[in-house]
Amino acid sequence: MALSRAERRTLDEIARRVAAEDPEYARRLSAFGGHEAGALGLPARRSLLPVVLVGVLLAVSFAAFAVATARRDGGEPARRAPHVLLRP
Amino acid sequence: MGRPHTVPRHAKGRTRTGDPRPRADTDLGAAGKLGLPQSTALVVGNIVGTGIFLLPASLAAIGTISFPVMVGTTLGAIALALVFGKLGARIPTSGGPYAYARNAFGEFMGFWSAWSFWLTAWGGNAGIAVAWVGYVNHFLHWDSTAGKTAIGLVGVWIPVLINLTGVRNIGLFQTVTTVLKFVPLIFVAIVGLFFVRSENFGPFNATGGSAWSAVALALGLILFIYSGMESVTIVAERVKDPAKNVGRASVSGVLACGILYILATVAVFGTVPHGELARSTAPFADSLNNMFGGTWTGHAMAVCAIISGIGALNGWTMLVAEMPMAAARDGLFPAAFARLSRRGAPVTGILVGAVLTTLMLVFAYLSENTFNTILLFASFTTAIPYFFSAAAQLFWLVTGGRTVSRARMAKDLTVAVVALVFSFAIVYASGEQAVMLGILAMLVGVPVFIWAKARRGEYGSRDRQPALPAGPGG
Repeated sequence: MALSRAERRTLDEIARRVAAEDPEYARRLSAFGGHEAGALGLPARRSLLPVVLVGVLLAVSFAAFAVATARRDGGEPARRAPHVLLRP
Repeated sequence: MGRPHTVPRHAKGRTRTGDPRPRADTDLGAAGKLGLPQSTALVVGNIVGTGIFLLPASLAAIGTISFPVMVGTTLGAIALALVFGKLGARIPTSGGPYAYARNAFGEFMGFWSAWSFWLTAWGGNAGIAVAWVGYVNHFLHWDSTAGKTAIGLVGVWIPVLINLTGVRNIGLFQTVTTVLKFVPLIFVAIVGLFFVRSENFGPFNATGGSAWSAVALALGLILFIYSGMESVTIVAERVKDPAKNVGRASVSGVLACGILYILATVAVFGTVPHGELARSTAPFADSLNNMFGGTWTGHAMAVCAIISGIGALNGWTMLVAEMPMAAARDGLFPAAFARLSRRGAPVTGILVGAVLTTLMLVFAYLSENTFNTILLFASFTTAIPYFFSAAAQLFWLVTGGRTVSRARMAKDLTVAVVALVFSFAIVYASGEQAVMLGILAMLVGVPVFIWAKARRGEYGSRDRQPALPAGPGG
Protein backbone atom coordinates (compact mmCIF):
# COMPACT_ATOMS: atom_id res chain seq x y z
CA MET A 1 0.00 0.00 0.00
CA ALA A 2 1.36 3.42 -0.85
CA LEU A 3 2.18 5.84 1.94
CA SER A 4 -0.27 8.65 2.60
CA ARG A 5 0.76 12.27 2.13
CA ALA A 6 0.80 12.82 5.90
CA GLU A 7 3.00 9.74 6.38
CA ARG A 8 5.38 10.99 3.70
CA ARG A 9 5.61 14.40 5.37
CA THR A 10 6.34 12.78 8.71
CA LEU A 11 9.01 10.55 7.20
CA ASP A 12 10.63 13.47 5.39
CA GLU A 13 10.71 15.38 8.67
CA ILE A 14 12.32 12.42 10.44
CA ALA A 15 14.85 12.12 7.62
CA ARG A 16 15.75 15.79 7.88
CA ARG A 17 16.13 15.54 11.66
CA VAL A 18 18.35 12.45 11.41
CA ALA A 19 20.48 14.14 8.74
CA ALA A 20 20.94 17.20 10.99
CA GLU A 21 21.77 15.17 14.10
CA ASP A 22 24.03 12.59 12.49
CA PRO A 23 25.43 13.76 9.12
CA GLU A 24 27.77 10.77 8.87
CA TYR A 25 24.86 8.33 9.18
CA ALA A 26 22.92 10.32 6.56
CA ARG A 27 25.94 10.23 4.23
CA ARG A 28 26.16 6.43 4.54
CA LEU A 29 22.44 6.03 3.91
CA SER A 30 22.63 8.27 0.86
CA ALA A 31 24.81 5.64 -0.79
CA PHE A 32 21.70 3.49 -1.02
CA GLY A 33 19.14 6.00 -2.16
CA GLY A 34 20.38 9.56 -2.14
CA HIS A 35 19.04 10.22 -5.59
CA GLU A 36 15.44 9.36 -4.69
CA ALA A 37 12.79 12.03 -4.72
CA GLY A 38 11.96 11.66 -1.04
CA ALA A 39 13.37 10.02 2.06
CA LEU A 40 11.16 6.97 1.70
CA GLY A 41 9.29 7.81 -1.47
CA LEU A 42 8.73 5.80 -4.60
CA PRO A 43 11.94 5.01 -6.48
CA ALA A 44 12.72 7.26 -9.38
CA ARG A 45 12.26 5.69 -12.81
CA ARG A 46 16.00 5.72 -13.45
CA SER A 47 16.52 3.71 -10.25
CA LEU A 48 14.54 0.87 -11.78
CA LEU A 49 16.36 0.95 -15.10
CA PRO A 50 19.06 -1.52 -13.95
CA VAL A 51 16.32 -3.91 -12.80
CA VAL A 52 14.68 -3.76 -16.20
CA LEU A 53 18.01 -4.20 -17.94
CA VAL A 54 19.00 -7.20 -15.85
CA GLY A 55 15.54 -8.73 -16.47
CA VAL A 56 15.98 -8.35 -20.22
CA LEU A 57 19.54 -9.67 -19.96
CA LEU A 58 18.38 -12.79 -18.09
CA ALA A 59 15.53 -13.41 -20.55
CA VAL A 60 17.85 -13.08 -23.54
CA SER A 61 20.45 -15.29 -21.84
CA PHE A 62 17.77 -17.91 -21.18
CA ALA A 63 16.82 -17.95 -24.87
CA ALA A 64 20.51 -18.15 -25.86
CA PHE A 65 21.13 -21.07 -23.46
CA ALA A 66 18.10 -22.90 -24.84
CA VAL A 67 19.22 -22.40 -28.44
CA ALA A 68 22.73 -23.56 -27.56
CA THR A 69 21.31 -26.64 -25.81
CA ALA A 70 19.12 -27.45 -28.80
CA ARG A 71 22.06 -27.15 -31.21
CA ARG A 72 24.27 -29.29 -28.99
CA ASP A 73 21.72 -32.08 -28.64
CA GLY A 74 20.26 -32.09 -32.14
CA GLY A 75 16.74 -33.57 -32.23
CA GLU A 76 17.24 -35.60 -29.09
CA PRO A 77 15.33 -33.46 -26.55
CA ALA A 78 12.09 -33.56 -28.48
CA ARG A 79 12.21 -37.34 -28.59
CA ARG A 80 13.09 -37.63 -24.93
CA ALA A 81 10.28 -35.40 -23.77
CA PRO A 82 7.18 -36.03 -25.86
CA HIS A 83 5.09 -35.06 -22.84
CA VAL A 84 5.80 -31.44 -23.70
CA LEU A 85 3.41 -31.68 -26.60
CA LEU A 86 1.07 -33.93 -24.68
CA ARG A 87 0.47 -31.14 -22.22
CA PRO A 88 -2.36 -30.69 -21.86
CA MET B 1 -8.73 -27.49 8.75
CA GLY B 2 -6.77 -24.92 10.72
CA ARG B 3 -7.34 -21.24 11.23
CA PRO B 4 -10.38 -19.65 9.73
CA HIS B 5 -9.44 -17.29 6.95
CA THR B 6 -10.65 -13.75 7.08
CA VAL B 7 -10.31 -10.90 4.65
CA PRO B 8 -8.46 -8.02 6.31
CA ARG B 9 -10.39 -4.79 6.24
CA HIS B 10 -7.73 -3.00 4.26
CA ALA B 11 -7.88 -5.62 1.52
CA LYS B 12 -11.48 -4.95 0.70
CA GLY B 13 -12.12 -2.65 -2.18
CA ARG B 14 -8.56 -1.48 -2.72
CA THR B 15 -5.43 -2.85 -4.25
CA ARG B 16 -2.15 -3.03 -2.38
CA THR B 17 -1.11 0.12 -4.16
CA GLY B 18 -4.04 1.92 -2.65
CA ASP B 19 -5.95 2.26 -5.89
CA PRO B 20 -9.61 1.35 -5.99
CA ARG B 21 -10.04 -2.27 -7.03
CA PRO B 22 -10.81 -2.69 -10.69
CA ARG B 23 -14.48 -3.48 -10.98
CA ALA B 24 -16.30 -5.44 -13.59
CA ASP B 25 -19.62 -3.77 -13.88
CA THR B 26 -21.46 -5.78 -16.42
CA ASP B 27 -20.40 -9.37 -16.46
CA LEU B 28 -19.57 -10.58 -13.02
CA GLY B 29 -22.83 -10.76 -11.18
CA ALA B 30 -24.07 -14.22 -10.18
CA ALA B 31 -25.27 -14.73 -13.75
CA GLY B 32 -21.80 -13.88 -15.08
CA LYS B 33 -20.03 -16.47 -12.97
CA LEU B 34 -19.20 -20.07 -13.66
CA GLY B 35 -21.53 -22.64 -12.16
CA LEU B 36 -20.45 -26.15 -11.17
CA PRO B 37 -21.00 -27.66 -14.68
CA GLN B 38 -19.02 -24.86 -16.34
CA SER B 39 -16.28 -25.06 -13.71
CA THR B 40 -16.01 -28.81 -14.24
CA ALA B 41 -15.97 -28.19 -18.00
CA LEU B 42 -13.06 -25.80 -17.48
CA VAL B 43 -11.11 -28.48 -15.62
CA VAL B 44 -11.92 -31.26 -18.10
CA GLY B 45 -11.47 -28.99 -21.11
CA ASN B 46 -8.03 -27.86 -19.95
CA ILE B 47 -6.83 -31.34 -18.99
CA VAL B 48 -8.00 -32.97 -22.21
CA GLY B 49 -6.29 -31.04 -24.97
CA THR B 50 -4.68 -32.55 -28.03
CA GLY B 51 -2.29 -34.94 -26.29
CA ILE B 52 -4.82 -37.66 -25.58
CA PHE B 53 -5.26 -38.32 -29.31
CA LEU B 54 -1.70 -39.68 -29.52
CA LEU B 55 -1.34 -40.99 -25.97
CA PRO B 56 -2.29 -44.66 -26.67
CA ALA B 57 0.28 -44.88 -29.48
CA SER B 58 3.00 -43.40 -27.27
CA LEU B 59 2.15 -45.84 -24.47
CA ALA B 60 2.02 -48.82 -26.84
CA ALA B 61 5.75 -48.37 -27.41
CA ILE B 62 6.20 -48.94 -23.67
CA GLY B 63 3.71 -51.78 -23.17
CA THR B 64 0.81 -52.62 -20.90
CA ILE B 65 3.02 -51.84 -17.93
CA SER B 66 1.66 -48.34 -18.59
CA PHE B 67 -1.73 -49.35 -17.16
CA PRO B 68 -0.68 -49.66 -13.50
CA VAL B 69 1.40 -46.50 -13.90
CA MET B 70 -1.68 -44.70 -15.17
CA VAL B 71 -3.79 -45.96 -12.27
CA GLY B 72 -1.13 -44.85 -9.76
CA THR B 73 -0.83 -41.45 -11.42
CA THR B 74 -4.60 -41.05 -11.35
CA LEU B 75 -4.60 -41.70 -7.60
CA GLY B 76 -1.89 -39.06 -7.15
CA ALA B 77 -3.88 -36.60 -9.27
CA ILE B 78 -7.04 -37.27 -7.23
CA ALA B 79 -5.07 -36.60 -4.04
CA LEU B 80 -3.89 -33.28 -5.47
CA ALA B 81 -7.43 -32.42 -6.57
CA LEU B 82 -8.63 -33.13 -3.01
CA VAL B 83 -5.91 -30.83 -1.71
CA PHE B 84 -7.06 -28.12 -4.12
CA GLY B 85 -10.59 -28.65 -2.78
CA LYS B 86 -9.44 -28.06 0.81
CA LEU B 87 -7.30 -25.08 -0.16
CA GLY B 88 -10.08 -23.63 -2.30
CA ALA B 89 -12.44 -23.80 0.69
CA ARG B 90 -9.84 -22.14 2.92
CA ILE B 91 -8.85 -19.39 0.46
CA PRO B 92 -11.63 -19.00 -2.11
CA THR B 93 -9.80 -16.33 -4.07
CA SER B 94 -8.38 -16.07 -7.57
CA GLY B 95 -4.82 -17.10 -8.20
CA GLY B 96 -5.20 -20.55 -6.61
CA PRO B 97 -1.67 -21.89 -6.11
CA TYR B 98 -0.35 -18.30 -5.98
CA ALA B 99 -2.69 -17.42 -3.12
CA TYR B 100 -1.96 -20.66 -1.25
CA ALA B 101 1.82 -20.29 -1.50
CA ARG B 102 1.68 -16.60 -0.63
CA ASN B 103 -0.43 -17.14 2.45
CA ALA B 104 1.62 -20.09 3.69
CA PHE B 105 5.17 -19.11 2.73
CA GLY B 106 5.18 -15.39 2.02
CA GLU B 107 5.17 -13.07 -0.94
CA PHE B 108 8.19 -14.38 -2.79
CA MET B 109 6.96 -17.97 -2.90
CA GLY B 110 3.56 -16.69 -3.96
CA PHE B 111 5.17 -14.72 -6.74
CA TRP B 112 7.25 -17.69 -7.86
CA SER B 113 4.17 -19.91 -8.01
CA ALA B 114 2.39 -17.30 -10.12
CA TRP B 115 5.42 -16.74 -12.34
CA SER B 116 5.90 -20.48 -12.80
CA PHE B 117 2.28 -21.03 -13.72
CA TRP B 118 2.28 -18.06 -16.08
CA LEU B 119 5.31 -19.44 -17.96
CA THR B 120 3.65 -22.86 -18.15
CA ALA B 121 0.39 -21.45 -19.43
CA TRP B 122 1.55 -19.37 -22.39
CA GLY B 123 4.39 -21.76 -23.25
CA GLY B 124 2.02 -24.72 -23.12
CA ASN B 125 -0.47 -22.86 -25.31
CA ALA B 126 2.17 -22.72 -28.04
CA GLY B 127 2.54 -26.51 -27.70
CA ILE B 128 -1.21 -27.04 -28.02
CA ALA B 129 -1.38 -24.65 -30.98
CA VAL B 130 1.35 -26.52 -32.86
CA ALA B 131 -0.46 -29.84 -32.35
CA TRP B 132 -3.76 -28.16 -33.30
CA VAL B 133 -2.28 -26.95 -36.59
CA GLY B 134 -1.44 -30.57 -37.43
CA TYR B 135 -5.08 -31.63 -37.03
CA VAL B 136 -6.42 -28.66 -39.01
CA ASN B 137 -3.98 -29.51 -41.78
CA HIS B 138 -5.60 -32.93 -41.99
CA PHE B 139 -8.21 -31.04 -44.01
CA LEU B 140 -6.47 -27.90 -45.30
CA HIS B 141 -3.01 -29.19 -46.23
CA TRP B 142 -1.46 -25.72 -45.82
CA ASP B 143 1.95 -27.26 -45.26
CA SER B 144 4.16 -24.26 -45.97
CA THR B 145 5.64 -22.37 -43.02
CA ALA B 146 3.41 -19.39 -43.77
CA GLY B 147 0.34 -21.61 -44.03
CA LYS B 148 1.00 -23.38 -40.74
CA THR B 149 1.75 -20.09 -39.01
CA ALA B 150 -1.50 -18.61 -40.31
CA ILE B 151 -3.53 -21.56 -38.99
CA GLY B 152 -1.70 -21.37 -35.67
CA LEU B 153 -2.49 -17.67 -35.34
CA VAL B 154 -6.18 -18.44 -35.83
CA GLY B 155 -5.96 -21.07 -33.09
CA VAL B 156 -4.31 -18.65 -30.68
CA TRP B 157 -6.33 -15.52 -31.39
CA ILE B 158 -9.90 -16.90 -31.64
CA PRO B 159 -9.75 -17.82 -27.93
CA VAL B 160 -8.31 -14.36 -27.26
CA LEU B 161 -11.37 -12.74 -28.85
CA ILE B 162 -13.68 -15.00 -26.85
CA ASN B 163 -11.81 -14.21 -23.63
CA LEU B 164 -12.05 -10.48 -24.27
CA THR B 165 -15.84 -10.75 -24.35
CA GLY B 166 -16.01 -11.89 -20.73
CA VAL B 167 -16.44 -14.89 -18.52
CA ARG B 168 -19.97 -15.77 -19.64
CA ASN B 169 -18.86 -16.45 -23.22
CA ILE B 170 -15.72 -18.22 -22.06
CA GLY B 171 -17.85 -20.58 -19.95
CA LEU B 172 -20.30 -21.21 -22.78
CA PHE B 173 -17.55 -21.95 -25.32
CA GLN B 174 -15.74 -24.14 -22.82
CA THR B 175 -18.85 -26.17 -21.98
CA VAL B 176 -19.75 -26.75 -25.64
CA THR B 177 -16.25 -27.77 -26.71
CA THR B 178 -15.80 -29.99 -23.64
CA VAL B 179 -19.00 -31.89 -24.40
CA LEU B 180 -18.09 -32.18 -28.08
CA LYS B 181 -14.64 -33.56 -27.26
CA PHE B 182 -15.61 -35.73 -24.30
CA VAL B 183 -18.58 -37.56 -25.83
CA PRO B 184 -16.73 -39.12 -28.83
CA LEU B 185 -13.75 -40.07 -26.65
CA ILE B 186 -15.87 -41.71 -23.96
CA PHE B 187 -17.84 -43.43 -26.75
CA VAL B 188 -14.64 -45.06 -28.01
CA ALA B 189 -13.65 -45.82 -24.43
CA ILE B 190 -16.87 -47.61 -23.50
CA VAL B 191 -18.02 -49.18 -26.78
CA GLY B 192 -14.46 -50.22 -27.53
CA LEU B 193 -14.44 -52.46 -24.47
CA PHE B 194 -16.96 -54.73 -26.25
CA PHE B 195 -14.54 -55.19 -29.17
CA VAL B 196 -11.41 -55.86 -27.13
CA ARG B 197 -9.29 -58.87 -28.15
CA SER B 198 -6.70 -60.04 -25.66
CA GLU B 199 -4.08 -60.81 -28.33
CA ASN B 200 -4.01 -57.12 -29.35
CA PHE B 201 -2.56 -55.92 -26.04
CA GLY B 202 1.03 -56.86 -26.79
CA PRO B 203 3.82 -57.38 -24.28
CA PHE B 204 3.78 -56.12 -20.68
CA ASN B 205 7.12 -54.41 -21.24
CA ALA B 206 7.70 -53.51 -24.88
CA THR B 207 10.79 -51.35 -24.36
CA GLY B 208 13.33 -54.15 -24.35
CA GLY B 209 14.86 -52.66 -21.19
CA SER B 210 14.24 -53.27 -17.51
CA ALA B 211 10.80 -52.94 -15.93
CA TRP B 212 12.04 -49.89 -14.00
CA SER B 213 13.18 -48.12 -17.17
CA ALA B 214 9.77 -48.89 -18.72
CA VAL B 215 8.03 -47.46 -15.65
CA ALA B 216 10.24 -44.36 -15.83
CA LEU B 217 9.39 -43.88 -19.50
CA ALA B 218 5.68 -44.32 -18.78
CA LEU B 219 5.89 -41.83 -15.90
CA GLY B 220 7.53 -39.31 -18.23
CA LEU B 221 4.41 -39.44 -20.36
CA ILE B 222 1.63 -40.10 -17.90
CA LEU B 223 2.50 -37.76 -15.02
CA PHE B 224 1.68 -34.81 -17.25
CA ILE B 225 -1.72 -35.91 -18.50
CA TYR B 226 -3.57 -34.23 -15.64
CA SER B 227 -1.91 -30.87 -16.15
CA GLY B 228 -4.74 -28.34 -15.92
CA MET B 229 -6.46 -29.88 -12.90
CA GLU B 230 -5.75 -26.64 -11.00
CA SER B 231 -7.70 -24.55 -13.52
CA VAL B 232 -10.72 -23.78 -11.41
CA THR B 233 -8.64 -22.75 -8.38
CA ILE B 234 -7.08 -20.00 -10.46
CA VAL B 235 -10.42 -18.48 -11.42
CA ALA B 236 -12.07 -19.08 -8.03
CA GLU B 237 -13.57 -15.59 -7.89
CA ARG B 238 -15.27 -16.23 -11.23
CA VAL B 239 -17.01 -19.28 -9.74
CA LYS B 240 -20.33 -19.30 -7.92
CA ASP B 241 -19.88 -20.38 -4.30
CA PRO B 242 -16.14 -21.01 -4.72
CA ALA B 243 -15.67 -22.43 -1.22
CA LYS B 244 -17.70 -25.46 -2.32
CA ASN B 245 -17.46 -25.56 -6.08
CA VAL B 246 -13.69 -25.25 -6.48
CA GLY B 247 -13.23 -28.57 -4.72
CA ARG B 248 -16.18 -30.27 -6.37
CA ALA B 249 -15.14 -29.19 -9.86
CA SER B 250 -11.49 -30.14 -9.32
CA VAL B 251 -12.26 -33.62 -8.00
CA SER B 252 -15.07 -34.43 -10.44
CA GLY B 253 -13.02 -33.11 -13.38
CA VAL B 254 -10.01 -35.23 -12.48
CA LEU B 255 -12.22 -38.27 -11.85
CA ALA B 256 -13.96 -37.87 -15.22
CA CYS B 257 -10.63 -37.51 -17.00
CA GLY B 258 -9.15 -40.44 -15.08
CA ILE B 259 -12.00 -42.73 -16.11
CA LEU B 260 -11.73 -41.49 -19.68
CA TYR B 261 -7.96 -41.94 -19.89
CA ILE B 262 -7.94 -45.43 -18.38
CA LEU B 263 -10.90 -46.82 -20.30
CA ALA B 264 -9.85 -45.22 -23.59
CA THR B 265 -6.29 -46.53 -23.31
CA VAL B 266 -7.51 -50.05 -22.53
CA ALA B 267 -10.08 -49.90 -25.36
CA VAL B 268 -7.60 -48.67 -27.96
CA PHE B 269 -4.94 -51.15 -26.83
CA GLY B 270 -7.52 -53.94 -27.10
CA THR B 271 -8.89 -53.03 -30.50
CA VAL B 272 -5.69 -52.16 -32.41
CA PRO B 273 -2.95 -54.79 -32.79
CA HIS B 274 0.12 -53.78 -30.78
CA GLY B 275 2.53 -53.36 -33.70
CA GLU B 276 0.05 -51.25 -35.64
CA LEU B 277 -0.78 -49.13 -32.58
CA ALA B 278 2.85 -48.33 -31.76
CA ARG B 279 3.29 -46.90 -35.31
CA SER B 280 -0.11 -45.21 -35.45
CA THR B 281 -0.48 -41.45 -35.89
CA ALA B 282 -4.24 -41.64 -35.23
CA PRO B 283 -4.88 -44.40 -32.69
CA PHE B 284 -8.50 -43.47 -31.94
CA ALA B 285 -9.37 -43.47 -35.65
CA ASP B 286 -7.63 -46.84 -36.05
CA SER B 287 -9.62 -48.18 -33.13
CA LEU B 288 -12.92 -47.03 -34.65
CA ASN B 289 -11.91 -48.46 -38.02
CA ASN B 290 -11.27 -51.83 -36.43
CA MET B 291 -14.64 -51.70 -34.67
CA PHE B 292 -16.88 -50.49 -37.47
CA GLY B 293 -14.78 -50.43 -40.65
CA GLY B 294 -14.70 -47.56 -43.14
CA THR B 295 -12.36 -44.62 -43.53
CA TRP B 296 -14.54 -41.80 -42.19
CA THR B 297 -13.22 -42.21 -38.69
CA GLY B 298 -9.95 -40.43 -39.42
CA HIS B 299 -11.85 -37.32 -40.40
CA ALA B 300 -14.19 -37.64 -37.41
CA MET B 301 -11.36 -37.90 -34.91
CA ALA B 302 -9.47 -35.02 -36.57
CA VAL B 303 -12.59 -32.87 -36.09
CA CYS B 304 -12.76 -34.03 -32.48
CA ALA B 305 -9.09 -33.08 -31.96
CA ILE B 306 -9.66 -29.66 -33.53
CA ILE B 307 -12.57 -28.99 -31.19
CA SER B 308 -10.62 -30.34 -28.25
CA GLY B 309 -7.59 -28.17 -29.03
CA ILE B 310 -9.49 -24.93 -29.50
CA GLY B 311 -11.43 -25.60 -26.29
CA ALA B 312 -8.21 -26.14 -24.36
CA LEU B 313 -6.70 -23.00 -25.86
CA ASN B 314 -9.78 -21.07 -24.77
CA GLY B 315 -9.52 -22.29 -21.18
CA TRP B 316 -5.75 -21.81 -20.92
CA THR B 317 -6.00 -18.32 -22.40
CA MET B 318 -8.29 -17.50 -19.50
CA LEU B 319 -5.75 -18.84 -17.00
CA VAL B 320 -2.83 -17.05 -18.66
CA ALA B 321 -4.48 -13.79 -17.65
CA GLU B 322 -6.15 -14.72 -14.37
CA MET B 323 -3.03 -15.83 -12.50
CA PRO B 324 -0.98 -12.64 -13.06
CA MET B 325 -4.14 -10.61 -12.42
CA ALA B 326 -4.35 -12.06 -8.91
CA ALA B 327 -0.65 -11.36 -8.26
CA ALA B 328 -0.87 -7.86 -9.76
CA ARG B 329 -3.69 -6.94 -7.39
CA ASP B 330 -1.27 -7.59 -4.54
CA GLY B 331 1.45 -5.54 -6.20
CA LEU B 332 3.50 -8.62 -7.09
CA PHE B 333 3.10 -8.41 -10.86
CA PRO B 334 3.08 -5.27 -13.03
CA ALA B 335 -0.08 -3.31 -12.21
CA ALA B 336 -1.39 -3.35 -15.79
CA PHE B 337 -2.21 -7.04 -15.39
CA ALA B 338 -4.82 -6.19 -12.74
CA ARG B 339 -6.89 -3.87 -14.90
CA LEU B 340 -10.25 -5.19 -16.06
CA SER B 341 -12.30 -4.12 -19.02
CA ARG B 342 -15.99 -3.25 -18.66
CA ARG B 343 -16.70 -6.91 -19.41
CA GLY B 344 -14.46 -8.01 -16.60
CA ALA B 345 -11.67 -9.25 -18.87
CA PRO B 346 -8.05 -8.77 -17.74
CA VAL B 347 -7.11 -7.35 -21.12
CA THR B 348 -3.37 -6.85 -20.58
CA GLY B 349 -2.87 -10.39 -19.34
CA ILE B 350 -4.82 -11.88 -22.23
CA LEU B 351 -2.95 -9.85 -24.86
CA VAL B 352 0.54 -10.24 -23.36
CA GLY B 353 0.01 -14.01 -23.04
CA ALA B 354 -1.26 -14.25 -26.61
CA VAL B 355 1.67 -12.23 -27.99
CA LEU B 356 4.17 -14.47 -26.19
CA THR B 357 2.37 -17.59 -27.42
CA THR B 358 2.39 -16.16 -30.95
CA LEU B 359 6.14 -15.49 -30.78
CA MET B 360 6.73 -19.07 -29.61
CA LEU B 361 4.50 -20.36 -32.39
CA VAL B 362 6.40 -18.45 -35.08
CA PHE B 363 9.61 -19.73 -33.54
CA ALA B 364 8.26 -23.29 -33.70
CA TYR B 365 8.04 -23.11 -37.48
CA LEU B 366 11.40 -21.39 -37.86
CA SER B 367 13.25 -23.95 -35.75
CA GLU B 368 11.21 -26.89 -34.48
CA ASN B 369 14.01 -28.45 -32.49
CA THR B 370 14.86 -25.24 -30.66
CA PHE B 371 11.18 -24.69 -29.96
CA ASN B 372 10.88 -28.17 -28.43
CA THR B 373 13.97 -27.56 -26.31
CA ILE B 374 12.82 -24.17 -25.03
CA LEU B 375 9.40 -25.60 -24.26
CA LEU B 376 11.01 -28.18 -22.00
CA PHE B 377 10.96 -25.55 -19.24
CA ALA B 378 7.17 -25.84 -19.15
CA SER B 379 7.27 -29.44 -17.97
CA PHE B 380 9.29 -28.33 -14.93
CA THR B 381 7.31 -25.19 -14.20
CA THR B 382 4.07 -27.23 -14.30
CA ALA B 383 5.06 -28.91 -11.05
CA ILE B 384 6.07 -25.87 -9.00
CA PRO B 385 2.56 -24.54 -8.24
CA TYR B 386 1.44 -28.11 -7.48
CA PHE B 387 4.32 -28.70 -5.10
CA PHE B 388 3.84 -25.50 -3.11
CA SER B 389 0.07 -25.96 -2.98
CA ALA B 390 0.48 -29.43 -1.47
CA ALA B 391 3.20 -28.05 0.81
CA ALA B 392 0.88 -25.24 1.93
CA GLN B 393 -1.78 -27.77 2.86
CA LEU B 394 0.76 -29.83 4.80
CA PHE B 395 2.02 -26.66 6.50
CA TRP B 396 -1.44 -25.65 7.65
CA LEU B 397 -2.29 -29.16 8.80
CA VAL B 398 0.71 -29.34 11.11
CA THR B 399 0.68 -25.74 12.33
CA GLY B 400 -2.99 -25.32 13.10
CA GLY B 401 -2.70 -25.29 16.88
CA ARG B 402 -6.26 -26.51 17.41
CA THR B 403 -8.12 -29.62 18.48
CA VAL B 404 -8.76 -31.95 15.57
CA SER B 405 -10.24 -35.37 14.97
CA ARG B 406 -7.31 -37.77 14.75
CA ALA B 407 -8.93 -39.84 12.00
CA ARG B 408 -9.62 -36.76 9.90
CA MET B 409 -6.15 -35.40 10.53
CA ALA B 410 -4.60 -38.73 9.46
CA LYS B 411 -6.69 -38.76 6.28
CA ASP B 412 -5.87 -35.16 5.40
CA LEU B 413 -2.18 -35.67 6.11
CA THR B 414 -2.10 -38.80 3.93
CA VAL B 415 -3.76 -36.98 1.05
CA ALA B 416 -1.40 -34.00 1.38
CA VAL B 417 1.68 -36.21 1.48
CA VAL B 418 0.54 -38.22 -1.57
CA ALA B 419 -0.09 -34.94 -3.43
CA LEU B 420 3.33 -33.63 -2.44
CA VAL B 421 5.08 -36.79 -3.61
CA PHE B 422 3.06 -36.71 -6.85
CA SER B 423 4.26 -33.15 -7.52
CA PHE B 424 7.83 -34.11 -6.67
CA ALA B 425 7.62 -37.03 -9.11
CA ILE B 426 6.55 -34.66 -11.88
CA VAL B 427 9.73 -32.65 -11.36
CA TYR B 428 11.80 -35.83 -11.62
CA ALA B 429 9.89 -37.03 -14.67
CA SER B 430 10.41 -33.76 -16.49
CA GLY B 431 14.07 -34.70 -16.95
CA GLU B 432 17.45 -33.05 -16.44
CA GLN B 433 17.26 -30.54 -19.26
CA ALA B 434 13.75 -29.50 -18.30
CA VAL B 435 14.83 -28.89 -14.70
CA MET B 436 17.84 -26.87 -15.84
CA LEU B 437 15.84 -24.73 -18.27
CA GLY B 438 12.95 -24.50 -15.83
CA ILE B 439 15.14 -23.14 -13.04
CA LEU B 440 16.68 -20.61 -15.43
CA ALA B 441 13.20 -19.54 -16.50
CA MET B 442 12.18 -19.18 -12.85
CA LEU B 443 15.24 -17.03 -12.11
CA VAL B 444 14.32 -14.69 -14.95
CA GLY B 445 11.30 -13.78 -12.82
CA VAL B 446 13.35 -12.42 -9.92
CA PRO B 447 13.96 -8.98 -11.49
CA VAL B 448 10.23 -8.81 -12.23
CA PHE B 449 9.54 -9.39 -8.53
CA ILE B 450 12.07 -6.69 -7.56
CA TRP B 451 10.55 -4.27 -10.05
CA ALA B 452 6.96 -4.95 -8.96
CA LYS B 453 7.83 -4.62 -5.26
CA ALA B 454 9.79 -1.42 -5.85
CA ARG B 455 6.95 0.07 -7.88
CA ARG B 456 4.59 -0.75 -5.04
CA GLY B 457 6.38 1.89 -3.04
CA GLU B 458 7.37 0.12 0.12
CA TYR B 459 10.27 -1.68 1.67
CA GLY B 460 10.49 -5.26 2.83
CA SER B 461 7.89 -7.97 3.10
CA ARG B 462 4.24 -7.34 3.91
CA ASP B 463 3.95 -10.66 5.71
CA ARG B 464 2.59 -9.00 8.83
CA GLN B 465 -0.38 -7.78 6.89
CA PRO B 466 -1.58 -10.76 4.85
CA ALA B 467 -4.06 -9.51 2.32
CA LEU B 468 -6.60 -11.27 0.24
CA PRO B 469 -7.75 -9.59 -2.90
CA ALA B 470 -11.44 -8.91 -3.12
CA GLY B 471 -13.29 -10.42 -6.05
CA PRO B 472 -13.06 -8.90 -9.48
CA GLY B 473 -16.51 -7.62 -8.92
CA GLY B 474 -15.33 -5.83 -5.87
